[in-house]
Amino acid sequence: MSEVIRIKGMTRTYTIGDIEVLALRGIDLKVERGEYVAVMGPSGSGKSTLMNLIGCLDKPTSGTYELDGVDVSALDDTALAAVRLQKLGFIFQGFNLLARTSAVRNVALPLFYAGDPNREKKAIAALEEVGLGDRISHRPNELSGGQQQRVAIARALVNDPALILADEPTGNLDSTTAEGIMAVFERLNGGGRTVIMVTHDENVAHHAKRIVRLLDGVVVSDDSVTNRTV
Amino acid sequence: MNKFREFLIEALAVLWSNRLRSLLTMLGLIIGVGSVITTLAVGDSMNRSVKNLLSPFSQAASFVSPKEDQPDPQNAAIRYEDAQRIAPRVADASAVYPVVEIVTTTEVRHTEKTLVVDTDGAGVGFDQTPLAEGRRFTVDDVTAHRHVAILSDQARLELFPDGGPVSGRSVRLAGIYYTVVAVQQKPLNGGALGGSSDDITVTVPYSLIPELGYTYVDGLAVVARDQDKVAQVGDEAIAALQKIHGTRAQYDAQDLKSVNDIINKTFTVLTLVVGFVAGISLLVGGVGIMNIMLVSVSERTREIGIRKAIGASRRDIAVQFLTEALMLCCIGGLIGLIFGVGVAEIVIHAAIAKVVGTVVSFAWFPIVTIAIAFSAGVGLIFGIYPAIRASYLNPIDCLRYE
Repeated sequence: MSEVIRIKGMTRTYTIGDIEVLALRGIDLKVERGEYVAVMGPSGSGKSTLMNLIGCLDKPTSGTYELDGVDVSALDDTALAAVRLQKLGFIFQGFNLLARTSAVRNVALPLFYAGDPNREKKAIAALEEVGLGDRISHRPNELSGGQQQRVAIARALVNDPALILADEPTGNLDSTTAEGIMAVFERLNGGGRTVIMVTHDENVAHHAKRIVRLLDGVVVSDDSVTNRTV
Repeated sequence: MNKFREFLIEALAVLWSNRLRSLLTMLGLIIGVGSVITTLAVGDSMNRSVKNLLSPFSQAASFVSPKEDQPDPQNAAIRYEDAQRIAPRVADASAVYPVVEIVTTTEVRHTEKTLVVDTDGAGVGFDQTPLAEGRRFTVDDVTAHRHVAILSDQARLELFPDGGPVSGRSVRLAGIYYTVVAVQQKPLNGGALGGSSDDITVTVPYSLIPELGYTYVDGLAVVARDQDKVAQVGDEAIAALQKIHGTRAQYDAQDLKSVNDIINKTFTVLTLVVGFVAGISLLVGGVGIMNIMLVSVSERTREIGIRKAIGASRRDIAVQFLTEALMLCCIGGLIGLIFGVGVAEIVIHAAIAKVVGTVVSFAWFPIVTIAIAFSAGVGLIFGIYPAIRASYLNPIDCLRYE
């Protein structure tokens, strides 16, 4: 099984009052191990919904979703939490670090929930991997935006996930810092990690190897990137 | 377990980073636990102090005397010989003897003093106050109508102020000389019960009652062989007296065991009532904690979202917030315990000791156990709802929350 993601006929409907909103109207998507995919689309296209579903934060209304060989579309909340813990690494636009907590403790958090006794050592290794080996005791407010996002990336990869999910990872960063972050993603993918990134920025998207475009809840294009920015 | 320790450390860090708020949140609980502890400790101390007052008196003896209000008091009055007459009818009694207490005044070195003449039987009778010197009355003392006397500590001080042993020396009461055979120790209770400590008390064998000029006595001391049968021998003695005086004659049997029981019941009820009122402040403290925990959950919605996205289960989130509430309560309870014990000590030393004479502390173990149990209980009861609420938050909504 070399497919990390296999989605078939996935729909997601929200009910707001009496109105049904079809956020996703039948998505088919396969992502192989080691791929680097950008998901693009204007706001309202359903890309956030898709991201939440891929990230096991939400459940599809219909269709199936296999993550790393496990059918997660039928799992309950507790089982989904375990899947997020073991198979997924999240990176958010707003970094989402715990404010009063040092970098190393932020990174170690997933390992804490997993009950890993070596979490401190692994967290330091992950911070070194993103080039922050000298900032382990710093708190988020003592770090720049780019450094905070690197801490978040270290946290996402510390539990050795099958998939790294990044939601507008450079959205809050200036272009120079953003380039640095993209270089980190490039290096992670080069090391064999599967990365899915949601963005509305064409320049950022062109760092990926493949771009999936959504519009009104369906995939409208799915192409390999020929003119990659590396 | 290792995980729980981490939760504990994390909870302490969160509480410490909001020191003032944590302290104010705890305040309700501190006052609640403090007042419950003060109530229990003071109640316990009072109970023990009162029992201490009674400790010189035998718990095996029942004192049978005529009731105060009755149709024919003249007929009900107990005669000296009644003791001997009813003794065979009270199977479980080791002794039945008449008791009088004669209170007069006497002049000691030109000062008017109260003189109390008590009667008692052989051996360790009704009054169990330990002896400082000498011996108790013997059966021979009683049967041979010997003129012997036991002095109270105060009597020795007044009558023999020069000190030294006084056994063998003589005292004169109403023109008759008595040989001192013993001196009692200074009573623990300072004489708060059964007269003032300034009284000169002289105890003589009961067989001298007729000689003292008394046909009628205050009552009968009925000593049970077994302390548990003290109420029974009292009832038997009453029945036996009614055989002589008729059923219209009414008697009371008082024994310390039932007095003790009444004291226990009274203090239990009193402690429960005051404790209940104090418990209300505990409830208010608990509601305060729940309130702040709910505020804390909504303030940290984003943090909950992050933790859930990373893979924290509902249980992890619930345990985190419950641990915080528990820590808040346990620290508050500890402060409340110290505060409550402090107030109790002040009350005991300042008030009870003044009235009762001696300081009797309270039992520590139940007090500490109750403090811990109450605070942990409040933490659990009022922490569980905010914790569950936090654990059921939707991570997507949480991450969007600003």
